[in-house]
This record gives sequence, structure tokens and C-alpha cells, in this order.
Amino acid sequence: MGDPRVVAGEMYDWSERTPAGGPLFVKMVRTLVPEGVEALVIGPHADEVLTAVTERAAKTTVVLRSVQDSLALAERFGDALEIVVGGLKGWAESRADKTFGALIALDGFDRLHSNDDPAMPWVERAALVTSALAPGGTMLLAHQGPIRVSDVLDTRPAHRRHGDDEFVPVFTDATRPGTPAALAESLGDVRSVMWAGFGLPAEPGVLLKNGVDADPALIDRVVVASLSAHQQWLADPRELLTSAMRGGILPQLADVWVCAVRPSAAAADVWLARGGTGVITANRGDDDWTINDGQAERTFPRAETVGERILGLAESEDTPAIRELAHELAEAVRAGNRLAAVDPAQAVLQEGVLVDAWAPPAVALTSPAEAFGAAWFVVLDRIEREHRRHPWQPWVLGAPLVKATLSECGFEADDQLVERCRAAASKIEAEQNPAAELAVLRDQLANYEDMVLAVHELRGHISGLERTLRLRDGQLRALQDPSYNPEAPGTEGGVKGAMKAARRVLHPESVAKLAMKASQVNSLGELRAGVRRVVRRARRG
Amino acid sequence: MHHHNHYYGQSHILARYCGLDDTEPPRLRGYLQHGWNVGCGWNPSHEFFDGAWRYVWSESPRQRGYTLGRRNYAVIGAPWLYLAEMEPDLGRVPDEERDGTLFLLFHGWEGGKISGNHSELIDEIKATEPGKVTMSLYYTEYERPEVRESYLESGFDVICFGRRGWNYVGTDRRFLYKQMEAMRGFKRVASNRLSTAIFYGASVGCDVAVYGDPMELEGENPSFGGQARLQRLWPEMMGAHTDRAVVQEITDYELGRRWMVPPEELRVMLFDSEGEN
Repeated sequence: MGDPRVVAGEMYDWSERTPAGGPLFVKMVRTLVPEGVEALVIGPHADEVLTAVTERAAKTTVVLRSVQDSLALAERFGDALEIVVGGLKGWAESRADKTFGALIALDGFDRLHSNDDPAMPWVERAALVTSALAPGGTMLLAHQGPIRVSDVLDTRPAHRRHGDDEFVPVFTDATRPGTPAALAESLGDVRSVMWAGFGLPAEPGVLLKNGVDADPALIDRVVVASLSAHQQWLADPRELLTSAMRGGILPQLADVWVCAVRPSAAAADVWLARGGTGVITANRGDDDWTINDGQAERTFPRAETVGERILGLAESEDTPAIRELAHELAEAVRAGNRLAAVDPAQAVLQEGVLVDAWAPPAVALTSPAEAFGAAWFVVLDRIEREHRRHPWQPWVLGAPLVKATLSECGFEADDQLVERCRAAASKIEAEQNPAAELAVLRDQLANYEDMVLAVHELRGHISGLERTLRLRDGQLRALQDPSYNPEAPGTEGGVKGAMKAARRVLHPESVAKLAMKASQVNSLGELRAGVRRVVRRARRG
Repeated sequence: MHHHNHYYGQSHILARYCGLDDTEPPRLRGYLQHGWNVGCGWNPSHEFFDGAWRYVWSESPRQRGYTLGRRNYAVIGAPWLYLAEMEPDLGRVPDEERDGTLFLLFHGWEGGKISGNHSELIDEIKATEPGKVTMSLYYTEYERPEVRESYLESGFDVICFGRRGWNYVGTDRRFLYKQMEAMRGFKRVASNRLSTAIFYGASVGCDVAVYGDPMELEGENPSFGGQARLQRLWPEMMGAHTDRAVVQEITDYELGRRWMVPPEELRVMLFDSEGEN
């Protein structure tokens, strides 16, 4: 131990960026790697992962291709690690027949070949690495799929994406597994578990076991994790991920597939990063999830979230059902005397009781009214931000609707309460979705279209106001017309008025009109009635 | 606000429901459906300004409007229903005291009058209605003596609920109040066409009937599908005798009972300025 052992293919002036790390990989190592074995960590891994391996393993060997990375690692870890620096081929030749009880390749098999080596197909790289696994040994492997949602919706064209591993094309390799099933098959007939990971491939935020269906609350967390992969998106990945979930092809779109071969313990269905180094694991039951945050275990129903229900109803413009749901939510919040914030994307209503799902916000509030109003703001914000279809006028969406809804649901709604709800909603959004402010090209285009439409509609509104003025002008003229309005200024009653009216009726133009009308009547009775009507009007004048 | 919004005092009723002045109701930033409609909520030739919102009674006009490429619909239920909620006792009599039939003749409007065989209709009404009959004529027919007198001479009472107004002038803002007060005293409401009044009658507990010569209206737009379409879509509403439960269900749907909006929300939706008319 101590100084790195150099084998063929070591790379100078080179450093690996974004080594595999993060709380989920650390937790996986601590849970699934057997204790007391000799472990091999191949490829760049973050210090926290290496530490976790050294805590489990009797001896840990690390293989890296970067000289400077290996020197830095040696300095940080000292004798705790045996470090080999060189290319995959050089390491394989130096390994002889040595095998390991645990093999950690959470950065995948891509960043192993040296720039001094000829290009090597994925399947050969895999064979070289996995041959080092002892019979019955455990392997943790990560592998990037070809239809990653963060690639599909990346604003950058393909040739600008893959960063420091671009010197050998990765995804054009025909031997590279392109589906989770192909990856499992490439590992041979071994007991293994596969998860679809979302977020940065080197540090996923959610892992979902293959064959386990996601639900809306979990997809919300998947989206939040995915958003951490980029600063700029062609479109919000929520729509694509939700559709993939409904179509049962979510794993295909994962940023990374993570595979555990012969894990040493039962592998949870879901792994979710939460709050820095926190990890939630969960297992799916028939109707519910049982989750464990490391301190306590609790269950919640596998059901549509409050937020999804509102969004669905808004899409079908079913305002009565939305009001009904608002009442149901208000009752639940009031009955539970809810003083913790509610994120509608992370809350389920079950028989009148509000149940938190995966990741309830930690924002403290002062009243149930605040919890209810803030939750309503969060949903409306999302409708606006995601350009979703909804039934409300632009001047209603937002604070006016929240205030009206609070009031309808029996809360005393004043402007101060609405302001507090608004502030709480912003805190919830910041906590629950730190990436919400990312630049999304489609949203920008939609915002532009919205502004053009708003200008067009404002012009229309001006036309509407002009139309009102014309109609009101007509009203004024009618009110000043004595034949229509007996109280019009200057109107005289009695015989004098009747004479005046008669003169008006007998004006040559009026007589001509009368004659024209008379020529259209069908019978003498109708003509008589018409004349009587004219006379009566004249008298009214 | 378009002056149609004032028809029958509908804006006035909604303003009152929202706690606003109902003598000079504030301006609506859009158009309010003023009668039961088998199209998109309005006459096909009605003009709309861009960005105007269309406040309709029920889902159906909204859906039809969407298929015509129109947007900005808000379904709010018929103002009549709001009036009924505010005036639960107006004209109400015990059920056993309700009597007679109010027959609402399909009416013309300021832009076109109806033509048809009134004497045949009278014979059919006499043969159908078991008790006293009161004819309700809109002023366009009420002021045509040859029409009004033909019903009077047949022994029917004849009433008129007033004018819906034009250009804000002559609107009887209590038009619907008077109609509701009257209807709550009748046992049956009938008409020679399936029209708004039939749904109004059903909504206040009258048995309803649709029969007799539907008459013709000058300039009637054929894109509404005519009587044949009405018969195809609402056969349960047609005939001298109808099933009350079925009629009630259809009425609630067509008047949009489920879509009524609480006053706080309706006020924000409809009235963009409390002082502007």
C-alpha cells in the first residue's frame, strides 16, 4: 500500500471529472457489499464511496487511469487503499489470476481504457473486469443507457455532450447493452437486481427497481432528480417521464442502470436521496409503500397525489370537481391541524386523511389555513410554469383564486393570509425542487407565444371597450329619443306631446317608411294592428 | 360589456349574487350566454372581440365551441339557477296548490318574427291541457294584436314577462324574477319548441311538455340542425307528457347546476372592475 502501483496505459495530465458518488451509491455499498472480503473498485469513484468500501472490505484495491488522481487519492487515503494506475488492458495483464469477493464499478466500464490502448469494444472491457470477480462474489455496476432522458432533452447536440470520455465514442459501440435486459444478459446467468437511476449518472437521485411500477409521487421525485443533470433543457422532462411511466417504459429512459450481482442483503425497491446525505429506501406492497428513512418506518398508499388529481381536473376544466377536492383537502388539513407545509405533489388523500408520500417539505407554518393556501399556490404555480391547460382566466389564476378558494373552504381569507401563503409556497418550491428555475427552451418559446397572444387579446379587449362605448352611445341616443323614452329631456306630455309625435310620425320620411312596411303586410288586420302600434308609440312619445 | 349580457337582467342577477350593485351591474370582460343554446352558446353570426371570455351555462356549448376552434370558455351555470338560490320563496306555493299550464309560445326577437299556424296550435293545446291555460308571449308577439288576441279569444289568459332590452335600454331587470314567480304557481310548463323556458319550468318543479307547431323564425340558422336535431338529442323532453325524473336530470345538465360558482370566485371571474359599466 501507499504509492500507486503503475501498470501499462497510465495517463498523464488527465483527471476524471464527476467520479461515481453520492448518498445512494454509498448506501448501496454499505448495504449490499459483503463484509470482510477483498474488494476491487475499478474506475473513478468519489471519496465517500471509497470510504464506505474500506469500512466493509478486508482490503480494497482501486484501479485508475489518471496518474494525478491516483497520487491525490494516495495522499488522502494513505494505507487504506491499494492503488493501481494504468489502462484496463495493462491492469488485466498485471492481475494474473487474482480475483475479488466484491467488485465495485459504479462509474461503468467506459472510463477504463487508456489513451495508449487501442479502442476496445464494451463487451471485451466487461469481460476483462468481470473475470476478476471471485465465484459467488458481489458486483455493483452502473451503466449508461442509450435513450437517457437527459440526452434526449439536452440543448447541446450529441457531439458536444460526453465531455472527458469523448476521445473514444461510447454509444456507437454495437456490443454495448442498449436495454436493461441486454445488460443483465451480458452479465451471464447470475442472480442480480437492476435499478433505473435518474439524475447525474455518476450521482443518481432516485433508483427504481426494474419491474416495480412508479406512481405520480415517485415520478415527481424522479423529475426533480433528473433536472439536476443539466442547467438547460429543450423541454421539461416531466411530460416525457410521466408518459414513459404510464407506458411502462420508464427504465428505458433512465440516466443510468445500476446492477447488483449477488447482493449480500435484500435490495430495496426504491432508493431516494433526500436532504444532503440522507437516503430513503422503500419497498412496494400491493396497495402501499413502506419507506424507511434510516430512523423510522412508515407506510403510505400507492395512489394518485392531490396535485395530480388537481392537475387532471384542471386539464379537463372540471371546476366543480376541483372545488369538491379543495373542500376535501381543507377538511383534512383542518382535522389534522396541519402546521407543516403540504406539497401537493407529495401528498395523498386517503379517506379524508392527508398522508405524506416520499418527501414532504419541512417548511413550518402557523395555521392550517396557511398550509392549505400554500398548497394551492404550489399547484397553480406548476400549472403556469409547465404551461398546462386549465380553466381559469389569467386574471384569476394566482392570488385571487387562492383567496376565493380559501374563503369557499371556510377559512377567513384576508390579504395578509394570502401573502403568507404565497411566501410559504415559494419556500416549499425552493425546498422541493431546487432546479425549478432552470432554463427550458420550450417554456421560453411558449412564454414568447403567450406574450404575443396577450398583446393580441389586449387589442381585442380595446376593441371590446370601444364596442361597449358604441353601444352605450346608442343607449344615450335612445334615452334622449322621446319616442323611446318618455322621460327624455325636453319631452312634453299631453296633447302638445302627441301633436309633436304625430308631426314626427307624419314626417315625409316616416310616411315613406310606413308605406313600405304597409306593402309587406299579409292582411288588413295586420295592417290595422301595425297602425295602432305606431300611434301608440307616438302617444308614448 | 356587450349589451347582450344585460338581456333578461342576467348580469344584474349575477352582480347581486356576487354582492354588487344590481341596478347598474359592473362590466363583464366577455360574453354571457343569454339563453339555452344548441350551438356554441351564441348565434353563429355573433361577433366576439379577441381575447373575450365566453361564460356559458353548461359543458355542451363549451365542447361545441372548442370544436369550432374557439377558446376562453368558462362554464358557470345559468343565471336563473343563481336567482332561484337567492329567491327560494319567490312565488312558491304548496305543491297541491299548483295549478294550470303556462304555455310559452316560441318567440321571435328584435331581428326576426315567427310565423306559423296559431289556430292549429290553440286547438292542440285545448286538446292536450287538462286545466286552465295561460299563454306567455314575448313582447314581440304580445305587441302583435293579431297574435295576442287569437289566444285571448280562445279563452286563454295571456301574459308577458317584459322586454329583455336592447343596447341597455328597456331591459326589464326583473324579467326572470317575474317568470320564476309565475312558474312556481303552475303545475305544467309547455311550449311548441324545446327552449329555455322549458328548462326553467322543469327547474322549479313543473311538469314539462313540448308539442304543437314549432313555427318558423325568420333568419333561423340551419347550422343549429333544426327541429330534427332537437328530437334526436333530447327525445325525453318531447311530447305532451314527460318523465319528471329524467327531465330533471337533463335540465340540471343543460342549465349547468353542477357548474355554479360560489360568489367569491364568480366575482373575480366575471367582474373585472366594480365601478366600470
